[in-house]
Amino acid sequence: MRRDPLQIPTVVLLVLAMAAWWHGADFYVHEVLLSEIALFAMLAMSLDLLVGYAGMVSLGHAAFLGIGAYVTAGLTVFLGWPVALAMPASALVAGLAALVVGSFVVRLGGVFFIMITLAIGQMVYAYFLKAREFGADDGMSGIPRLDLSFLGLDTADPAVFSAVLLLAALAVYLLLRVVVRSPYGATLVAIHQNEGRVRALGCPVHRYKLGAYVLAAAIAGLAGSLTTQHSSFVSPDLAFWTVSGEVLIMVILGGGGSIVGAAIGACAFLVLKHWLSAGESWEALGLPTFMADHWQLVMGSLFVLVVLVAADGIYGRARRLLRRDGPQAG
Amino acid sequence: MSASEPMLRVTGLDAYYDESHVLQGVDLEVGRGELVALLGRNGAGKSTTLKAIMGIVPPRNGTIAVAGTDVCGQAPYRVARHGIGYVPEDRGMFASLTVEEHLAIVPRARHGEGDWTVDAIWQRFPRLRERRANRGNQLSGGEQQMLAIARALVRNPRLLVLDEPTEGLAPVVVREIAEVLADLKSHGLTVLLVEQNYPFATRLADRVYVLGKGRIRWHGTPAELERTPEVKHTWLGV
Repeated sequence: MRRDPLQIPTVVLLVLAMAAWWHGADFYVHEVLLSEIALFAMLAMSLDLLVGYAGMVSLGHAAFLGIGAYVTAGLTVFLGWPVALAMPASALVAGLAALVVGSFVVRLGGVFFIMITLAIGQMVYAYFLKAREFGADDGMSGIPRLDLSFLGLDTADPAVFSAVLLLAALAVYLLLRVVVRSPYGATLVAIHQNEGRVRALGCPVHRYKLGAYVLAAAIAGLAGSLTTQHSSFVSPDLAFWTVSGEVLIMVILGGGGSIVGAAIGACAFLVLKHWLSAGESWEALGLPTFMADHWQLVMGSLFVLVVLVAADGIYGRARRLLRRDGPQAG
Repeated sequence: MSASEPMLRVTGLDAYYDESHVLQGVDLEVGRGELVALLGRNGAGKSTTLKAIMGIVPPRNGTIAVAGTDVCGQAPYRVARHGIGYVPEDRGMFASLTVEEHLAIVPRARHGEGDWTVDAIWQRFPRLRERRANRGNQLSGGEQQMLAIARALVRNPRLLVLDEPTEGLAPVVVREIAEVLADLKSHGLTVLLVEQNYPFATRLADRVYVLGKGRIRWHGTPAELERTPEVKHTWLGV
């Protein structure tokens, strides 16, 4: 397989760092920061399968997050389904939605794919915005969390639930790692590099891309289910295109095509976001606190900076620094 | 499909690049176990013929039958499934995939013959085995060509189609490739070879087609071609 000696140490380090952080954390860090990191890491890693491997830059990934969230909300609140059943249902429905949409969109490449996924994402957003049965723009609340009382765990405790989310992110990482290291994953990389060439080798390229699209959507759907459990609330905003945009930024920031890079991107983005948007951080630096209101300005500049000095993201750059054994691909 | 059908029969093949009529009714046949060379000058339409057969350049008219089954107008991956291993002109490497991965991503042909496995590939191409963990962009030209051939073989094709496998390679590597092709032929594999390297092609081929300006101008055995200097001169420039 492609050599990536940095992968395992990075993952181990990341897991240890998260565990240590979780261990010493207060309510706020459990409830907000770690949970958000875990949820967005799942999204970013699944998007990396599309962006970094198959070369499908989607700007509508949040649509599947939204679908997954509404499926869990609807099934638990209206039909009284147990969350444990609603979660796989969320992944399934999101995957099916991707199967239908993907049958058309995977045929498109480049900017057309970006625009059509953006349009479809906004259609999903617009639907939930107007869907009275799902509370329209008010959304829905009262969504229960996964019941783990048989393990003696109370998921209402932010510490417990954030641990569940972090473990779910780890499971997603392991699943995607198996996928990208398989011949199927290598085929996606090959398709990214030259689609026509792969077709001439006898691969039904569209089906391979559709498979990636469906898998990424199912993971996003699962993340959506967990997101709505986490906040016990769901609103159309989850499917809004800016969420897709943020996830894409996380993938680019961390470095696409490695899975773990996307998780690093999610960590870096969210930690920075929380830090930059807090007045105390600026005060500590001796700068005026109103800077906190302009955190997006600072974040945007940092993003531009990272892309300029490391086009292949934080992880990609680190990997390149470490590897001195041969010429590089791109 | 019957055993008496040739492995490949192309009749009246027309293909266009936009408005330019590149192939004008190409007819050719490759019998089972034969090694047929398609020769011609630059721009004669040799590569286009292969691309039209593979469905990469969609043909406008004509028939393409693989062992009696018409594949004309099918998508490239469907054509390939009929048991064709295609070695493209530029060798078709994937820069960031390893040698091993190049072999792993190839789906098996539905109508394949032969018993190539990755292990058998390592045996036949020990150099590739040594470099199995290297990426496509870390291989020499000769290694890339060997890998392109190995990749076509690992799907166990019944017809191997090669587009100028000697282009830009050192004489010693060309000799190696000739050995490989002669070896494959002696094991009964059917081969269609497009070449500009006249001595290389005529030494290997059972029969030769000469393509000029989009039409088959001549066909026969290499020995007959040797005795027909006007064809060599007009259409091959040798």
